[in-house]
Amino acid sequence: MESRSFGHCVLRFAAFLLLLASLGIADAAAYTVTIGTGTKAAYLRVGDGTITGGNYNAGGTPAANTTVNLVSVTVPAASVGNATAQAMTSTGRTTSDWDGFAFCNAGQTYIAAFFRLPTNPNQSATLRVNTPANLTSAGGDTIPITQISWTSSGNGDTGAQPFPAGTFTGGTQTLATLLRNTWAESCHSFSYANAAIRAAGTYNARATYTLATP
Amino acid sequence: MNAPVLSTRLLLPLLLALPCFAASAQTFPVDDSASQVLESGPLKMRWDSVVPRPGQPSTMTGQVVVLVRLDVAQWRGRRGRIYQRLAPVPNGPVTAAWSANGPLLPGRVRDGERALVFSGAIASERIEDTFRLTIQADGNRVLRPQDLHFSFEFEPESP
Repeated sequence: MESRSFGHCVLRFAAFLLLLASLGIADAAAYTVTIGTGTKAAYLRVGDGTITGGNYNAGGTPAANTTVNLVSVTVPAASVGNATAQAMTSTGRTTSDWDGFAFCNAGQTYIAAFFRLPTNPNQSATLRVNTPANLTSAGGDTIPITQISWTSSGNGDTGAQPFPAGTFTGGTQTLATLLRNTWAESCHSFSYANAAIRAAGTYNARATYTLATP
Repeated sequence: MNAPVLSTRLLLPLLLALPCFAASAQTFPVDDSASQVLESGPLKMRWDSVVPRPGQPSTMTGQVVVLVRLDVAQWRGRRGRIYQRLAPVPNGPVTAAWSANGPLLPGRVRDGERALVFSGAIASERIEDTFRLTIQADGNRVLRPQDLHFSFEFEPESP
């Protein structure tokens, strides 16, 4: 590779152009290659997920997975409403799609997100979750969704989690913001606060997670 | 006693100009209008790192084949060097590396610079080769399709 400077050769350069013109040498063509922008990408996994062709760090490609995982707890009759939090367990896969590492423990919910944009460094994506106000039984009884909360961790992690601990508030709430080009993953351990006596039954609610990119 | 002072004043600009003449050989643009880029539409660029570490540049790379056809008829029989130049790119840096089948040389160039692709006697009116270009750019700076202008220039050897 060679770099050239014409800084102190301005007068000579002008004379050279004049010589070219006088010789009748036409301006030469140049070939042009047009490069595109980098591809955009967004990835969100909560619970189960699918990746094909190996893990993501080895070139694997995430695929859509429509599984809705269940996080549940059965409260013993003797404990109903005693204000002792009841640990809930999830059915989802616990290994990371980044490298296959067993990042979560059995019963935890794996959450991972990533996005990539060909843009300036200050863009960030937002992970939000939407929940109804209550868990509802078939008989119409309810439990406030605020009775469900979670802690956040990850095997081998020592710093703060990208998706921190929290409590469902009902409606749409923001869980985290993500800088682009950064893979973020956490394991959530849900629990039921068990703060009041409820009618016997099975109570359900659905939480929908959304990753919004710029 | 004033004459030597005047002479020094006249000589100084000439002395300063001498390195300029000595360092730069004459350069002539080479007509490569017959060259052909075997790509329709913007070149697809892939990220070099799926998730770059903090501080690591978000470079992306793409590959394209170019049929290089240089009209060198006017220098046939002369000796000299041919360089490939990549024009400055506002959203650079951009680098291009290429392989060649011959007679041209493989090489690598950064935008705003040039690299040697031929040295020796011009034996024919036309030089043809196939370049497999590997282009690398900063994905954080290329926000829309970007044209890269390549050109060739000939420098005859001094007799």
